[in-house]
Amino acid sequence: VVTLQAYHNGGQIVIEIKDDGRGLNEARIREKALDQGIVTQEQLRRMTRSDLLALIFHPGFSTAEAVTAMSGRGVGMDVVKSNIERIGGTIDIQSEPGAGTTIRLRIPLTLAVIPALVIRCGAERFAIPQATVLEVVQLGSGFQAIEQIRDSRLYRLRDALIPVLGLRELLGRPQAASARHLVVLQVGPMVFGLAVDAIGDTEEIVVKNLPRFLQALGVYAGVTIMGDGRASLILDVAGLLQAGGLEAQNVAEPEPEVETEADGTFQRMLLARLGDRVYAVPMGLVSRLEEFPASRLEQVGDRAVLQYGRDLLPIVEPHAVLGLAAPEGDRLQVVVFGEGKRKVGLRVDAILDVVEDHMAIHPVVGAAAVIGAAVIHGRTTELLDVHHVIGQAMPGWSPGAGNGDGKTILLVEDSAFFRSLVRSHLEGQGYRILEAGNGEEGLKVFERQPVDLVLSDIEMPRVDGLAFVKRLRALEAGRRVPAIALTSVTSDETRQAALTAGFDRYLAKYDREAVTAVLADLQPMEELAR
Amino acid sequence: MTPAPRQPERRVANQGSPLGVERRALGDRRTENNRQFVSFRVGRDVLLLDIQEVQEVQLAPALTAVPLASPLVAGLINLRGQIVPAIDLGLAIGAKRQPDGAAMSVVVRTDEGAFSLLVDEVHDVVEASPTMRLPPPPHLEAGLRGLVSGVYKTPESLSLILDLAGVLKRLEPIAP
Repeated sequence: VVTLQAYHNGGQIVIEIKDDGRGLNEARIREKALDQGIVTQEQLRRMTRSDLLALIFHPGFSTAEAVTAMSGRGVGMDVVKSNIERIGGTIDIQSEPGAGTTIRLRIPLTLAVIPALVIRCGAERFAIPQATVLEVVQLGSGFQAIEQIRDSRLYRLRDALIPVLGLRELLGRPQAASARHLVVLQVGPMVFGLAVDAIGDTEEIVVKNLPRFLQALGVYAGVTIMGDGRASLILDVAGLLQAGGLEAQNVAEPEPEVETEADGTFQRMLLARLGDRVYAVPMGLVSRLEEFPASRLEQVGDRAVLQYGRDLLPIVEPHAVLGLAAPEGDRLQVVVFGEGKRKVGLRVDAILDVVEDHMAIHPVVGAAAVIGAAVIHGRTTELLDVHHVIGQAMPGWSPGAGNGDGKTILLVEDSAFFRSLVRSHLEGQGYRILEAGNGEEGLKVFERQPVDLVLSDIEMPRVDGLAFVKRLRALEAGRRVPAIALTSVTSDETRQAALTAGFDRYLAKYDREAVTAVLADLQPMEELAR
Repeated sequence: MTPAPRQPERRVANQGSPLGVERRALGDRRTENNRQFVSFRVGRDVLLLDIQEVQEVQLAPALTAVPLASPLVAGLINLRGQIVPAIDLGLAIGAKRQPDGAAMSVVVRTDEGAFSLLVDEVHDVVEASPTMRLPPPPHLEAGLRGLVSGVYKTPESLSLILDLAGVLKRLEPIAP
């Protein structure tokens, strides 16, 4: 009787093959191993029983009397062993003379099995490794829609505008009725949305290699077999980004560095045309991008406004300030800044693109409506001073409630994406931002230059937020500086741990209005501290 | 795992009558040097594959499409847990396959791994003497050029010997 049994055990699949025969003939193995010169008499004497049994895996070893078509060459067991070991498994043999033999194969589960989200594109199913999936949002009627600017599509995910790729377009499938779900994915610091027809379950899938000529397509990471026996392709998320023309920014995020003003920082910039020039605006300042028919423009006093939801949206034309001719045409391209009642629309001639890249912002002196310049797509592009331009038309306007007055904030955060988001938001409010990629760097920056406030992530490599704030509090200069934890982990325990460690406040990542409110609230504390 | 010493003749012959596979000699002379071929039909063309290259024959399985791949890739099939790309042989050789698609899959072994060739019908295993083998005719239509390594001529028909390597060469992905 041969019994075959398979079970999970500690992250491994164990396959047990057992018989109740006479067991391996140990005397014969000894004799043959000596005969064939695989071992010496001396070695044989020192061998344990399991070492001896393991000899049957030796290449060329066989106890068969004669070589037949099927067996006797000493190949079989060697092939089994090397194949099992190739996939990180082990094989062992137990044998009791007269009672039977048990062969146990252990194959690691974790090498080959990953959790994946199954999505649909028409009749086809694809798997996306769960590790890259941040969240799934619903699209369609009653839900927030994808916005289109020329050829690029964007989705407003809470306070971030993320680029959107359509799976159908990427895979060259005909455009169907609008996608119903957006899978938010992250590759390195790059967050983007993938519009798909439908969402299935999360499944544990066994990853199989693609035939080589299909790997070259670059958009598939492998293939798996679904419960119904059909093959399904596993999408390569980084490959999709590339196929969609959104190069992943330093996919394997390099050692985070303290970024000084000379270094390039990761920036997302909106490019807009005004007159015959292209200007850049940090995406973190932008709340929305809109297009209206010019007929909706109304005049209230000396100000142009639009009905915008329940509010009136003042429209500012920056052309006069920039010395350009007034825009024409029957469509208004509008970049909306600010929150709530403070929203202002800036009319541009055309919204061109959103670019993400590492770019150094060089200060430009003497140009009234420009705060700096950066090299974007190989061209020097001026950064529009949104505050100045809007302030000319609406004195005293600021996008949020707080006002930084040039105060310095130390931002400790390992994700370049969030750093650039927070940075552009707070710089828009007049704060000066120093960046650090983890707690250790944060302390170095702090020792070099005192700051007015610290914003820190909790989960970071090397020195995390909790250790960072403890060490900060131990410093003479760091004892009383307001410190705010900014994190995506929002359980009560982490909140308590953050406050115990020395943070003054604890905020979810990234609630713009809450951060603005807390910063305004902390002003009196800072004055006390002085 | 290394396959057991191959005895493909028996294996294919064992597919038995459901496939209508039987042994038949191409020409009358049987000699030691005779080679065996699997004969199948794609559209109106009858093609031969060296039996040494054929792993098995089965009814066309469920296909999983591979977007962006060459149109010759009809999809992926699950062959007892092994993922095998299926090639639309009709498209590869420029022959129109039956639209109703009662297709069959001829699984072949190559240096690039196993492939499934989708064909209309698998006929026989035929035995042929090398002396009857002719080089590919020079006036071969463009669709077949590079895909045929030779021709067997019998009184009633002309059979083309498929060059597997040539078929695989046409699989370069279209997307860079």
